[in-house]
Amino acid sequence: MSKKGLKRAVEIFKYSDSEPNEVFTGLLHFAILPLALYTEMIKSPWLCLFSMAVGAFQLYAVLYNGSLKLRSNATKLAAVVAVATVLNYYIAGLLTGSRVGWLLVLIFAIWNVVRVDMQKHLS
Amino acid sequence: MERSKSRYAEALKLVRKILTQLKEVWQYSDSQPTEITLAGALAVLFPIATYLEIGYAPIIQMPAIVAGLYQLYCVSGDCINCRVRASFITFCFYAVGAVLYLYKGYYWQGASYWGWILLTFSSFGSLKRIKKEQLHRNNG
Repeated sequence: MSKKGLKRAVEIFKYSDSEPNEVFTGLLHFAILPLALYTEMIKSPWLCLFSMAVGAFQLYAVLYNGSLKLRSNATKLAAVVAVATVLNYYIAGLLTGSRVGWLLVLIFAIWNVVRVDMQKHLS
Repeated sequence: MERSKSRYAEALKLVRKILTQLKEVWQYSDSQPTEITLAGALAVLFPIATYLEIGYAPIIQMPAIVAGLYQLYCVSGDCINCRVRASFITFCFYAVGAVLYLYKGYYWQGASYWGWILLTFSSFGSLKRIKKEQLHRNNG
């Protein structure tokens, strides 16, 4: 019998494909985060470049290489970037309205780490 | 000359491989986690963000909470017709939100607002995937 409700939600988050979320996080870190950092907060080219590099690495890992080891490393790096983004926005007092979306990206990033690592241990 | 040509061909091959893989992920991977995230964001983030940035509009904010909860209910129940319906409603809300932010000129104020466009595309992708699944199930 298939599980329902919360149990099903836990099952989905544990065992369903994480690739779409990895692509989503990678695209955000590659394109939107540098622009957001530059236009809304700190005009630091290094942070923007670091975010773009992490995004590009994640896109390469999931779309080109595909190995679990590389994907696992990419998701961990993406989680670090997501934590730094949320902290920076929070400290600057900008984590309001639409910018709360960065918190959503952080949840995505953490879930990606859990999901890919689980897959890595199972394989 | 010959070396630069082969490099160009290799780069083109890499881009093609990435695009093919992207298309495959977009078309065939599980859509439930995306649906749950989109539903959660619609029920919580959408009403709060639009209330703070666009203003009090109960005709959009109240149904958005109901639509988000409805999609969560549909995903938890695994009824494909219900999921298609809920995904379509969610897509409509995100599209309306994206247009409202465009109308208010927020996209020129900061890149964080572009997230609404991304959520609209994501909800459209999710809708397309589930519709395809529904057609496959109905046609055996």
